[in-house]
Amino acid sequence: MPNPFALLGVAEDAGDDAIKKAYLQRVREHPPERDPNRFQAIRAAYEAIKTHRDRLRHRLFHQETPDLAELMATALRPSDSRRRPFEAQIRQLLSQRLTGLK
Amino acid sequence: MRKPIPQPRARLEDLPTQELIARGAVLLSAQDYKDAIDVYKLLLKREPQPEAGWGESLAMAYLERARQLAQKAMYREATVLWENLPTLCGQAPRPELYIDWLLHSGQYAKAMRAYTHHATALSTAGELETSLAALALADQKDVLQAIPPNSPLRSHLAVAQDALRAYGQGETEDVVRERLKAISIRSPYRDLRQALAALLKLETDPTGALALIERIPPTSPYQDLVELVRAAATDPPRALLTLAPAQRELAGGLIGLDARQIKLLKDWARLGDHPSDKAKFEFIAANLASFDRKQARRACLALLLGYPQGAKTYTHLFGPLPPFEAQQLKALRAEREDDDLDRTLGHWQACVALLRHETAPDSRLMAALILRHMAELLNKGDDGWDDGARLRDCLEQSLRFDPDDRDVYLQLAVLHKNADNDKEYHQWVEQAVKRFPDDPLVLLAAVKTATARKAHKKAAGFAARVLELDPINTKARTVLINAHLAHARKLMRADKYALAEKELDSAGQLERDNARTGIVEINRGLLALQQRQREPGRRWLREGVRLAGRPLLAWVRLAVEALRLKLDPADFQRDVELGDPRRLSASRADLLALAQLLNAYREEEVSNLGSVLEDLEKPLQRAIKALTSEDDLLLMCESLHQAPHHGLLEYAASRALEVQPERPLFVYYQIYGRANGKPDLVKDRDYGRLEHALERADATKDHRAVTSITRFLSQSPFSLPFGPRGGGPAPLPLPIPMPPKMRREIEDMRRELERLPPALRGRMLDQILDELPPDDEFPPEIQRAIMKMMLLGGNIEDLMDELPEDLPLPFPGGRGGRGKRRS
Repeated sequence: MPNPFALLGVAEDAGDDAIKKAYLQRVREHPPERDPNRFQAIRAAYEAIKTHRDRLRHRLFHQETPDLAELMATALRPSDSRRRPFEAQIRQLLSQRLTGLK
Repeated sequence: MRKPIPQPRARLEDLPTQELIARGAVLLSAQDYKDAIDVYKLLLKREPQPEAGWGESLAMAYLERARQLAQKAMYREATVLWENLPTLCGQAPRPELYIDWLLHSGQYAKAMRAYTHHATALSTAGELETSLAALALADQKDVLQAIPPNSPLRSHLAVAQDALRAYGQGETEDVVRERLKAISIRSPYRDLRQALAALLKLETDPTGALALIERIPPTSPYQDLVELVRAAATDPPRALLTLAPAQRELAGGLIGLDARQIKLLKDWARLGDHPSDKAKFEFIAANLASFDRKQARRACLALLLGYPQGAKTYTHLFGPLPPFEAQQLKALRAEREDDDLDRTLGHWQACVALLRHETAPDSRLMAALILRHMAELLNKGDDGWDDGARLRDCLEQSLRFDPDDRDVYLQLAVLHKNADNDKEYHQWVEQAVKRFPDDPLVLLAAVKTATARKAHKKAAGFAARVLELDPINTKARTVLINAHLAHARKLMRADKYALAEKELDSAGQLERDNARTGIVEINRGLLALQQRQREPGRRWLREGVRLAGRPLLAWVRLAVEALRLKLDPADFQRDVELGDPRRLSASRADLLALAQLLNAYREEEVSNLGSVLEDLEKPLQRAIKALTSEDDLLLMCESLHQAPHHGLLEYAASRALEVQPERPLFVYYQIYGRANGKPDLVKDRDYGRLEHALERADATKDHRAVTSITRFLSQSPFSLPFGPRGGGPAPLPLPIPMPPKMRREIEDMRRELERLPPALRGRMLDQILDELPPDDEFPPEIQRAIMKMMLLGGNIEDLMDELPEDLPLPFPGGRGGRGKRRS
């Protein structure tokens, strides 16, 4: 089972209300009639951490192998300083594409 | 025998022309263009006149062979083949392919010459021009120099370069848009316009950027930019991993990653799709400064489960593991590795011990949760043997830490009920009611225990409370009606007719008009008849029968209600005008409704339902014979097994075996019915079938059949020695199937021993044990221990204690597994 906190997009110390709000938001994004598998996963995640008791249980007995993407999502949080590729970089990309070199 | 010498293959040159023609066609259709070229070369040599058409076939073989090479990225080789075409076949088909291969092999000058030369013959000038335009934009000098003066490739180049420069130099959105507008949609640079527009949009509206790249064709040379936009707009950072390193770096910049983050991304990509726990651990450890420390610590801790060798590094990075976490890790690892159950439980118990002295707010709750988890493990780990006492102990302990878990009270009540500990069962329900007086589920459980103790008034009180809390609770309503009915029966049996009538009134008022079963009316009828009010009695009975609907159900209801009042149903047969029950006809729907009714009665703990079915045996047999569905037959067998009615059960199971031959559960039901539910009446032939069914059920993991058969076989009178000693816990059945004949022989021996004086009994016992024949299934130690126990008495725990620790136990359902779990 993927990390339910990450799946619902809540912090690990989130409370009941925040978790419920995130769950309802996710269900709106992936309603069961349109995306049944995703909905099932969201539902399971919510059930796993719905209450304080559930969260304690989850922490005690479900040490799933962490997904690096979750960790990386924090580490790779982008700054506001976006950089456009330079003209030369785009040219190089085009050239490589046409010659099949990468 | 000597091997036949293979005939040498005829040389192509030696083949007659007709055969060559046939071979050429076969090779072409098999896409073996390399060999087809040799054949058509020879044919062209033999028949060079153009009307023979070998030049065209050869050209086709060459072209297809060149395409095969290009598909393997051997572009240069493909161009060489194509260049031979005019000389060999006098033709130059598909020049656009040739130019494309020239471009891919970097022969730009040649490509431009071919482009100019074949300009009129090009079928896909649009795509080629886009590629050439991209090369011009990429400053490929050979291309730039060779572009014809009036070609759009040259005339549109300056505006395209302008736009690219404006974007690359960080001009404002408006300026770049203005430049892009200058590129016409018919221009060979139009894909650049679209790609730059998407890159620009990415800065403010990633979803909009995705819509823009959809318009760029998949064959476009700008696809690398398309992939870059897609990755940056969808799910960074994971999507960035799918990009080539150069693209990834550009995409990182586009979404705002700094150099250190891009380096981290690069290292992450190096781990591949499915890195091991070790690789993940080391990656986190090496880049710890980049991560949220708390998150990284938790991730490393979780990874220690699969990579315990990382413990030292963990301590170095985060300090020593607190005792609780160290113990928790051991427990989780033991669970993951499916280690010895006792050892796993030991680790969890150590966690509880540590929490006991903690003052943190959640420690008591955590201890309770761990104890409940231990109970779950014990429950799962139970493979046919009873760990019930330990399980109940864990749950009871958990309530001392956290007394607010309703389900645990109810679970404990059920566990005690299943273990026939009636006193504890009632006590736990009472405790639950005290703790959760307004919980419908608890109150319903209380109704059940009160009914079981014949405390009908109390049961009615609980059910009434449930209905106050939840007026549409049908279960509570049914229970309340039943409680009033039960009380009414009690009063009728005590000849307190007026009070009984009041109870029946209460039951009638609770019945909903659309759910009346006729049971209240039948009881009113029986009450009236008991008071010798014949006419009203008959009227009520007929009304009850009418409401019951199906004649079969009406008869069963009447019979059950009469028996509950210790009356003979035959006395009312004429009053209700149902006719002779033996001549009733029953449909499939009747049977299914009957099964439901029998189950409902069983829940009410009505006993002796079998006798009610006696008069219905014939019509039921006729109806069972017509059943064809395995599910229907299973339902019938289950109901008849519970009722119980052995004759009908055997009949239904035999019919079921016609539908689904040798299903272990049906074999069991058939033999159970045939032996009247008594294992010592099982015939030897049936015993063999039962044993075979048990093996199959075990192999197919049909736990229900395994449990039923094992329980049945362990219920023989001979299982007495395994019974409780000194009022101890409930007996644990020894799941060793044993032929009835052998059981009788052992029973005789046991009686003989009992008659002997103690000293002589010991000597005799030793002699019997020493003379036991060797057995394939049981090692001698186990054989001796079992036989001793069967002859002298004892229970299964004693047997376990007598055995050497590492001895595997060959009992059905527990072969090897139990030995692993029990130390």
